[in-house]
Amino acid sequence: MNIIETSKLVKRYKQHTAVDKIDLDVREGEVFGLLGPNGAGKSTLIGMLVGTLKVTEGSVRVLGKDISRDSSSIKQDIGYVPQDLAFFEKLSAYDNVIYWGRLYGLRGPELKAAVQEALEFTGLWERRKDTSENFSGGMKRRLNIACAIVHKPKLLFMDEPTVGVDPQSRNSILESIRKLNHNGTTVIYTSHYMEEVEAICDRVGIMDFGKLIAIGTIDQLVTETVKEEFATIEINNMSLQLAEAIKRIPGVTYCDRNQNVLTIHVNPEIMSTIQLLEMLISKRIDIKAINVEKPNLETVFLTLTGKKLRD
Amino acid sequence: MINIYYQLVHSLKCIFKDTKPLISKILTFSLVILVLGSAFSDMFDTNIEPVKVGILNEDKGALSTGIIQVLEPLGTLDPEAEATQAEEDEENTEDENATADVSIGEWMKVYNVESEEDGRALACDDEVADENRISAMIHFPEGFTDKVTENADKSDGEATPITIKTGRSTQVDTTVVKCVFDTFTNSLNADFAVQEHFDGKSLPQDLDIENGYTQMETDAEATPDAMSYYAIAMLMMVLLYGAEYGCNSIADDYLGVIGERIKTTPIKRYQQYIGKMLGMVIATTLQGIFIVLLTGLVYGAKWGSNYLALLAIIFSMSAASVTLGACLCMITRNGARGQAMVSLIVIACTFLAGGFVKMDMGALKYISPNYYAQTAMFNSIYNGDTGIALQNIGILWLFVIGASAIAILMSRRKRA
Repeated sequence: MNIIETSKLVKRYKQHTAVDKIDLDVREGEVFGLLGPNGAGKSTLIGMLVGTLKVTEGSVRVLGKDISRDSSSIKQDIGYVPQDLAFFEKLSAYDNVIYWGRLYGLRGPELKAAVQEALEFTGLWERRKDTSENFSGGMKRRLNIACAIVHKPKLLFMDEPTVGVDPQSRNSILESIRKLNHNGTTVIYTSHYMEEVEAICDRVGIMDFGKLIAIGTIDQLVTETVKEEFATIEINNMSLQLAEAIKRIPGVTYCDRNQNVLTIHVNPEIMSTIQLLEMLISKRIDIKAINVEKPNLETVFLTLTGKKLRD
Repeated sequence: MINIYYQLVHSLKCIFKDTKPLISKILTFSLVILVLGSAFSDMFDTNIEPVKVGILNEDKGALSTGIIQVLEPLGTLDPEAEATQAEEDEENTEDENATADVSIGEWMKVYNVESEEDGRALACDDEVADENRISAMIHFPEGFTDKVTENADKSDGEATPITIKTGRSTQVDTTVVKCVFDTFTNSLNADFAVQEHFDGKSLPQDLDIENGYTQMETDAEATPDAMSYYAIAMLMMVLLYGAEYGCNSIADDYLGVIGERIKTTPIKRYQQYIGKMLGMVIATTLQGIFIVLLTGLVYGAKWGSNYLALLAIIFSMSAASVTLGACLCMITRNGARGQAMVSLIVIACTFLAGGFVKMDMGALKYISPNYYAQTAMFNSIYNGDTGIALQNIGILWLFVIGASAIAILMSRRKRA
């Protein structure tokens, strides 16, 4: 079952189209990664999915309901972890989570139990009475998450929840997301950290210029998108003539020289990287080091958008 | 309803958990009241003009007539006369004063008064022009001369009182009247004693005139002293600083990230707005009540006895301030800019309402909400006029409605 379905979804600001005819299906129980360079339209898309932005054209169904008609009941079952910290720094962690729990209609013992569960889940229960402004960056991020999951949402949107945290806290947050997902929460996750997306996402959608330009599992995207092999070769006594000669070899689609290092893209349908290396060795080229890169999400992203994920 | 209540509680919690700025604000204003109240007390009490005093002579005897001749009355004051009456009288008798009794004339201008009612009216009624207002009335009761003479013949004669009734005068005015008249009657008593001595009579111990001071009965209390004035003026400033809460709240909960986050929850926007605003109004009101208690109990500032009216004025002013802050933030669409405007407006409004220096800013004062709250408060405390107080409270609520309407319009403009 799809927990999110959009059809020809458009968001326009005067002349600017921020989201352009997006058809997106997110399945219940998966962790869906949404990637895209800055200004690609990710936040606008999420804004429409959580009901804070009005849809210009098209339709959005979340949890089987039309967002334009059942916004209130949909909001009851969704959680949202914004990129910026959205809690009251002068209040304790406990008071903050209580506040957000009440906004979702939790009351009395049910609220207290839910707050305890959320704070324990994020590892903040022992520090619940501390004023949140005194928390470390990682703890603040975890509190941001606790505020979003206190009402046990069926669908959780996380917009770059690990920005600016140390590796240990990041691992803890990623582990929390896995646990949440294991407990049945569907997660929509946006991040600039490719390794995070690779680590937790079942499927990934890539956006650019307001369009959804690719969607699928990471393996599918790599297989379908990346048609070339990548290698970097360090050569002693590298010359301009040698680099030009390698560039002219059939199958080499890209060759960039940086001092003694060549970055090479090879079309495997014409020549594999191994065959290229054998050829260079046979020509007595003095190869010092070789690095054959396995295509990954970063490669997919670069191939599709022409930009690095963190640009 | 419960959502509004929870928003209200949350709002109060946010304000009162952040203790440092709160304590700093209250302490600062408490000190400012103390400093201004002490520093300007002379300005409030000092009257460089001679004090106007009325004389009512119901005795018509030789002694009272003699005393009055020495005091050189300038004329007769009528409570319903135009403002210029006293000035004309003074001009007409200027030369005579210069040669007659320069020392008393420098301190007191004495006028005849027709009756006790007229004297009371000249001293206490609002309708009397300031130029005609007297600070005190010297009353020679019927039979005064006879009583002094009778007592002079008795060995255990009692002092015969001249009644001096003080009105709605400042402390300095009252002190001037008391000093001048005490000195005058002491000299008179000394004259009697010397005369008796040279006449060869024994000197009776208590043969003298004394001054019996009483406060005139009036519906109104005295005008505020400096401490009471600045307690009210600074209370208004504290309350107007409630605009900061309104501005911050809109910046955070509507324009900021928390606002965006709240939009993803099922709570209705109006519930959030009403709850938060009410919380901030109550927080501001509580701060106002604290200032009232502190200045009343520690500095002795007068707050009157109509506590309900006092609370209503504080609450209304708090509501006006908070909505003003919200409105400014919505207009500027930027918390920092809104905050800067609030700081400027608080100072400007306090100044225009005469909060720093007691002065009339003419029509400009009407743009300051402080003016309406101050007017309501002064009328409630000093004139007991709840009608004017209610009228000004009403104006404050019109202000609340106006500011809220502008804030809502601006928010809709953004959405459009």
